[in-house]
Amino acid sequence: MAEPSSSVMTRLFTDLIGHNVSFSDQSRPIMAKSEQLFCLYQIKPMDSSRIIQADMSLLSSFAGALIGLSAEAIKERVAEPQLDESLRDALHEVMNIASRIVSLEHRAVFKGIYADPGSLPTDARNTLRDPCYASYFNVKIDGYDGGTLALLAPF
Amino acid sequence: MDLLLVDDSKTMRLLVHRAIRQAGYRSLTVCEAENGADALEKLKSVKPRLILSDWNMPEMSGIDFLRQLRAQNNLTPFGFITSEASKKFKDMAMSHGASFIIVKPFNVDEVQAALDPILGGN
Repeated sequence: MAEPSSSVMTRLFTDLIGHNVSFSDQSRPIMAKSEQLFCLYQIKPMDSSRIIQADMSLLSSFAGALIGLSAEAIKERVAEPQLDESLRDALHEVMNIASRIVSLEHRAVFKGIYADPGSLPTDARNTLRDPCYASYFNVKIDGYDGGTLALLAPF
Repeated sequence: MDLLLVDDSKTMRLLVHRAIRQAGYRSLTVCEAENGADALEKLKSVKPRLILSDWNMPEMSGIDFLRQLRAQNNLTPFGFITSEASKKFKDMAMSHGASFIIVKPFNVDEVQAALDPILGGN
């Protein structure tokens, strides 16, 4: 699979949220220390699955920055028992737009965000457990919480 | 009414609104719809100068909306704002009568460049 480089990821997310974003390559798998989200994409025409796994705090930063929230406001909303509707909608939009870089060769269709990896379809769960391809990134965002993000694919 | 904005994402409708204002179109009147079917219903009562639509939407996609619009001989200028960036999608949009495609993520200059020829500048 053609890898989306850290510079491609940096450009897309910087353009998207209007704040400086920096992706740097990590050679080793992410050891998740915080709550994770799993974003599922279907690759056409093969109908295979790819997953973006990332810290919830990082994806919330992308979403909140997109709709003009401060870092403090994002933290307050994420701390609520149920994720605020505007932040949830923005989160979906961010990950929908990210479909552009999930596959550089084929069309990727964003299917949804999962908090529980056990709820993913079987092939996606297999990819998550044993990816044949994986890219790991450390992400920094000016003025917002950064975090880690991984792109996982079955081949 | 100047513009019909069709997107299932409230966030994207907010961002497009913001970009339109930043492009200098502060007094533009905008009607919103959540998908193609909702937009076709709204078009029974409004006559916009331009339609801006997402591509991937539940119930009726942007390209199906455009097809139905043209089948009704409605020739309102139509542009897509979408994350579908491939040539295949651009060609399909243009062959069905779209005037332009703005690819997400977009900036104000891209929105202005697309709107000016149709809305006549600000």
